[in-house]
Amino acid sequence: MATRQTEFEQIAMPHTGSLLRVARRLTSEPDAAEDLVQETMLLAWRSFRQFQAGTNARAWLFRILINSFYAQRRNGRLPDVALNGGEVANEPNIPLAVDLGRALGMLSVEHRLVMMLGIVEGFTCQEMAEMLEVPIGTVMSRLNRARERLRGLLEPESARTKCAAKEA
Amino acid sequence: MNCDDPDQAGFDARLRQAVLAEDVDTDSVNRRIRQKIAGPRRILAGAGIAAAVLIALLGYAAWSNARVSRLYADAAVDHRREVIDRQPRTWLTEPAAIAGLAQRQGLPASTPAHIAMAGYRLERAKLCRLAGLVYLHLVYSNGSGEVSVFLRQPAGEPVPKPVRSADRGEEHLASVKTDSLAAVVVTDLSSEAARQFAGLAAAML
Repeated sequence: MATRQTEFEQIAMPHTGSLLRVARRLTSEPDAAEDLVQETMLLAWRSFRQFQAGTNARAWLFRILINSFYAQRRNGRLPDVALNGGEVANEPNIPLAVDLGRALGMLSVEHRLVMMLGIVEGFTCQEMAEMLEVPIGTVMSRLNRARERLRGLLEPESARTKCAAKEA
Repeated sequence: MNCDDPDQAGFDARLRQAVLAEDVDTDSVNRRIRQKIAGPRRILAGAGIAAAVLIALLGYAAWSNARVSRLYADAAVDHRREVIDRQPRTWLTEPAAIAGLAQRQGLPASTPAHIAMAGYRLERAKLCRLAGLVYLHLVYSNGSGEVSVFLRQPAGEPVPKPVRSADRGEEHLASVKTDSLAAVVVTDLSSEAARQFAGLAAAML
């Protein structure tokens, strides 16, 4: 029994930082992010017997986190809004000086997820497709749109220039 | 995440750098997780210990009852053979010799005389073995019947602490244990006589 806990602490606990970082981007409150990570880890602990040593623990934990997040949203425990109270579609462009974090929070949840998982946490499109249970093409499409949206928020001049170049 | 577009790669790198630069304090959440995963196990461990203690107590009680049962059986047989049936044995009959025998067993020399109930007198004494332990066997008589009192220092014997009585065939038994004495009383007179002798032994010592 003690061995199982030790093993869990060695395999799963080192990832709480990454999980918390992503959870913060998904929820509107720091406490809600901690609750989400805690729930994720407890679910992981309960099913730890089924975890196969040597497989990707990080991807396994993120998959649980994402499922927990969507479950909490369905149950109404998490609000279905963009972060910082921003309305995604109508948010005006933000100067580059404004932090990336705020801009990231203005993306839709799906876009935020692929940005965090793919760009920040370094998961491949295939891994993200498995975690999110969507085709790999959907992941790539979301990633491109999320990038464009984010760049549009952070670098409006650059985005406009690119659009103009494309149109030309 | 591989990216072939250098411009895009630079943007991704800046985003990654900015997000990773944020302070993420995991102490609180890690502590909560550890408490949660350890909690049920502590309860289970506690329940396991409690169950083990209960099993041990039940086991001890069963073992203890078996020992008491054997003690009573041995005492009843001893009384039947040596007192009622008067099978040949070597007894001490002199009060001084009996007092000396008691003393050699670690009991106060006056004990044999003191625990004689009114109307009874000490007749004889010898050592015997009950349930594997040596007891001083004292025989008292009131003229119409006899009472066997088995005594020893309270160490290792299975005698229960409060006065306890039982009947085995025609023999009535009672036993008692104090800080300085363990006594088993057997008589064919009555269970009341057995209990009174046991109570008197406990009160006197």
